[in-house]
Amino acid sequence: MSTAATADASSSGDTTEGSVRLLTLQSEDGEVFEVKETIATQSVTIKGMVDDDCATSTIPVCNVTGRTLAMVIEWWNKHEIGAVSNEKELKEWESQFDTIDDKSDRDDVYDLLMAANYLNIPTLLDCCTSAVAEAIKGKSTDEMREFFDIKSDFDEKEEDALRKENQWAFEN
Amino acid sequence: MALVKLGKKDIISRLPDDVLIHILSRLQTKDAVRTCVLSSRWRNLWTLIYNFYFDDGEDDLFGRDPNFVKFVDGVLSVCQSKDVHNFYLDCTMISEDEISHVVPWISFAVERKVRNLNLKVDIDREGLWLVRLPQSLLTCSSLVELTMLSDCIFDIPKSSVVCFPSRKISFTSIRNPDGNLMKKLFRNCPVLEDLSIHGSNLNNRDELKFDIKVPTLKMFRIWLGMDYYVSKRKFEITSRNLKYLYIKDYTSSSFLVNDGPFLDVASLDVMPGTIDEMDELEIDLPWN
Repeated sequence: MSTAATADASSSGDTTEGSVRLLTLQSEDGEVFEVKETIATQSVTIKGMVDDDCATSTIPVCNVTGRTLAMVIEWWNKHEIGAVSNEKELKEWESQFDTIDDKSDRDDVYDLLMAANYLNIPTLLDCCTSAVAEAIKGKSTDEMREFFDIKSDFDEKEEDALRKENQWAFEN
Repeated sequence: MALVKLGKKDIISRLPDDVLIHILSRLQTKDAVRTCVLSSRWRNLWTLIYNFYFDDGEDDLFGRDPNFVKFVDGVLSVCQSKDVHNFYLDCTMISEDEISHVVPWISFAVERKVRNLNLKVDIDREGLWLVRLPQSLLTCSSLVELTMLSDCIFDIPKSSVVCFPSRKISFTSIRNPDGNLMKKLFRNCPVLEDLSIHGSNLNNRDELKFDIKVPTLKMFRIWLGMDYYVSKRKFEITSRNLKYLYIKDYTSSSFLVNDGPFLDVASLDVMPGTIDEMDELEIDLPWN
């Protein structure tokens, strides 16, 4: 991951490397990353800022930690046109994100989801929502609550009423 | 670090609505609805899903869900989604009484600008009733891909101008194709690029002509399996932009390709020994 992003706390504003413009992103916990504009604009949010000429100073990335932002930048690097030779290789690399085996995977996916949503990165959002959907599949209500740490605020009566209301989904 | 401050407890429920709706839209619709009891946060989220996957479970171990029709009716009656991306309907054993429900389901999707419509509707025994697809589907401009594995038919009034705005259509398992309909259907598809026809068990004794005049067509795939009746079938494809032509035919049909397209790929697969029986294969083209 360290190769994907260069942390340089002293830099701010946009710089250029050769003819490629660099953007400076700052995570919520203060880590600073310099990223090629051509790569960072995979984020619809950042692309909008660049198009509106609002990306000239450090771009704060709220609600995203440095650790997550480094993963996001790795994602961008892999998805840059020409970065991998074929679709199959890319899918194989992506597969590390598309399954949730335990709660630690789950928390990584949550962080990536928040980042993908805030930065509006359709490919990453697709991959992570798919991972969560896969984890939901085939689980009973109780299993889902356990796995995702969801605390029900319904009492037994309310839950029964809801099941009844949507009876056709709980039959069979 | 906000995430650490908040703790990792029940973070999923704190994800924005849009993200949760994305997740729910990836599930079988039944699984999506079941999340309504998780907590009050989840109660109505599923009503905003934009993909619908309905499967009556006929192919599953436990057999068909007897309340399937009630389920689909129930979901669609409370859904608030304004846009539908994918609408998959897989009901393989629908009864005569239930068939009238199918058209309103399709209309629901069409009214909400469906992009991909996948219909697998089968009747529960040999019968003559058909799903008469709504006229609105023919002119549904949002539709990108239509797949049918059904005995559905289009009711095309004589006076109407057929205008299929889809780029990709695949028809599968057309068992009772109507020659007149097939002629009309492929006469005015302004953007159609990819057409697949998979006909198996073609229950039609009459001579049948598929007249496919689609100038934009790039890919044409046809697979005809064994049929019960030895009837004449003739495919006439007129498209100067055709690039890929795949024919797999075990029925000795005849094919005519007009307009001299520059083909990149042409593949012909007939049952061993039947090439002589093949009625006719005539391709008018300058080979690449």
